[in-house]
Amino acid sequence: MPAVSICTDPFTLTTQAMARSYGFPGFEYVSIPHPVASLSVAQIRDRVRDLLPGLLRILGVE
Amino acid sequence: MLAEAAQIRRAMEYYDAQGWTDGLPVVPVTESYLAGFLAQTGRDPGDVLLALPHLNRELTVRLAAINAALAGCKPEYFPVVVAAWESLAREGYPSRAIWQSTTGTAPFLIVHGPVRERIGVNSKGNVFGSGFRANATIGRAIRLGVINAFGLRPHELDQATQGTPAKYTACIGENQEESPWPPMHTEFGLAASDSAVTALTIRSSMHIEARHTMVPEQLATDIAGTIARTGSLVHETISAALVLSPEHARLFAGAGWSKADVRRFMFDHAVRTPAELAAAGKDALSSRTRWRLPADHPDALPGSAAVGDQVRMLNSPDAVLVVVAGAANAGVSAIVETFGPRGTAPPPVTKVQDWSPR
Repeated sequence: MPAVSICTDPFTLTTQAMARSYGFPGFEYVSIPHPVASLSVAQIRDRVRDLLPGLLRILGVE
Repeated sequence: MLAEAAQIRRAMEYYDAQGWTDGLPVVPVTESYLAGFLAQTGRDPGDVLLALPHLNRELTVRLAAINAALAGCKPEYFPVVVAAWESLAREGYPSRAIWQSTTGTAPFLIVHGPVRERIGVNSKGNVFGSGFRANATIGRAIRLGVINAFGLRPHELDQATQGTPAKYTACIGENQEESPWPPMHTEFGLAASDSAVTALTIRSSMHIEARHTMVPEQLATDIAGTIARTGSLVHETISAALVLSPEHARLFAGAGWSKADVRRFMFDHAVRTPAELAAAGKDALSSRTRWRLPADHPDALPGSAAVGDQVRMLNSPDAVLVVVAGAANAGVSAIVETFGPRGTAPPPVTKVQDWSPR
């Protein structure tokens, strides 16, 4: 099943390091603003709405 | 001598430039020096001591020896370093990626038995502090292995938000000689004549000052209050290693308390009211992770909000480990906040293997 990783911005360096350690240095993922754990339902919806275009682009959805 | 000193400095700078240090200078390692470490163990240099499958990386005996040498260990410390890695593998948290967590844990080692005397592991005054090569370098050998064998460097794969000073080194000896109870490793199936290492994943070490009470219930209540602080709650319950000074241990033992009695008291008295948990935003549980969060959080499991008079912060008396360490000079002890065991498995007390130098 096609999947896309979603990380928050402070984890960019770690995400890239993990991708390198798995042999995928150019691995594409979606990065969103931090934090997530302390958001309300409405704020979570906003985050999802904002990240969707990037997610669909990586999936190759026109 | 001046030329030699310059060569040593160049080697130290080289190691630093490669990123092979914890920020402090390391000891240059040659194959002949390494051989002295490998001769101290019956394990094959290629044996894997710890694997982190999610990183596709392994720490072999040879890599453990290189990092022990870099850390400043003497070769005769190496069997303790090997047992520490074996204990970490048994403990289980490292292979579940805890060393990459934002929590920022450190491995904490407790050394038991005659090897303490043989190699000079401090178990008395300043036991968490500096000044003892075996404590300082055995703990550091683990840290350097984490950095160099697994590549867990800060700002990269190590995502610790703040970390802990214990990430430089955290290794103490059990003060068996001034403990009123049998040595800890004999509680878990080893003989008093054995040596052992217990490795625990820890978050912090908290100081307890209780110098004037002579009543075991007062001392135990003071300690239980420290265990039950809300700030340590990430999961539903917590676990701890209670490192008692000889003075505090003797107060308990003199009143007829066993270690099991101390653990039971902690289980019954490390509690919070639902209102206290709600005030700290930790009264409910996540529907997915069962982490603590506020009852009005979108991820709160319906019906998980704490009810009743009291909520236990420990899931079992065995979620508290009791060990004696430090000087017999004051009513000072410590709670080491651990990530396990939580009463579901015994601590990974691991025998230091006897060896015959090859």
